[in-house]
Amino acid sequence: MTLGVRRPVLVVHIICSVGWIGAAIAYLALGVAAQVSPQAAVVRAAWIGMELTGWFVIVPLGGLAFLTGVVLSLITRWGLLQHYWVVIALVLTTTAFAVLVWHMPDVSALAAIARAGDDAATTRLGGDVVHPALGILVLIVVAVINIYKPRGLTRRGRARQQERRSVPDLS
Amino acid sequence: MALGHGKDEDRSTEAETDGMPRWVKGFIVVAVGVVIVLVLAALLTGGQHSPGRHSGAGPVGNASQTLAEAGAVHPAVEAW
Repeated sequence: MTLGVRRPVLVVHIICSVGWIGAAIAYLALGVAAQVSPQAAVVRAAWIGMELTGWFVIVPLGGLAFLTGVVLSLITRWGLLQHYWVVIALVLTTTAFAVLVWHMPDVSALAAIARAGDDAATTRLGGDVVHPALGILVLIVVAVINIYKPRGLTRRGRARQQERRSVPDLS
Repeated sequence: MALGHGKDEDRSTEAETDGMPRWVKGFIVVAVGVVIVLVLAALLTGGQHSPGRHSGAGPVGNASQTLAEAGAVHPAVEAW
């Protein structure tokens, strides 16, 4: 695949991946605010913000980061299942995105309660700290792995390497 | 999954030793440990799982049911 195709995909991938981490940190700030604040207005605003940020920023960025990551692996010589670091990044990204999508309906449910409930019920909602904190940790691990690209070929990768070596170089 | 190219990509053609690298084994051990801790935490909290559960507000139960009961969904989310 030519550099002219790979580079735009890489740019989108980096923007979405870094944006995903940044948006998750913003979500965590709202989750902590809802957790520690005794004021119903703050808790209400935080849950509404978490719902909107989750559905309209974090989920799209996560989906795009996942898709562009898969595309990049397929259009570069890294391959999708040939290097351990790619496989681990894929598993962690898939897990993070799946948990996110699975988690968001609950966020919407609590945001609805915050929007419609009285002050006492809203204050009892608390916040959302564990999910975003774990998610950010996973995303940072993925980012570190992607930057360092530690060595290690999978069985499939070693087979592909053998194939490439057996083909005579006619160039 | 920031996959680069150029020099980084050239490494994919370098000779690599057989077997699973030590860093992968260490990573798997840590990951399994984290999963066990999370499963134990979920079991100790009664198997319920939701944002409110972590904060002491209790489980939200079925999300769509709770939404209907609350009778209020943000217009932007509803439209979407």
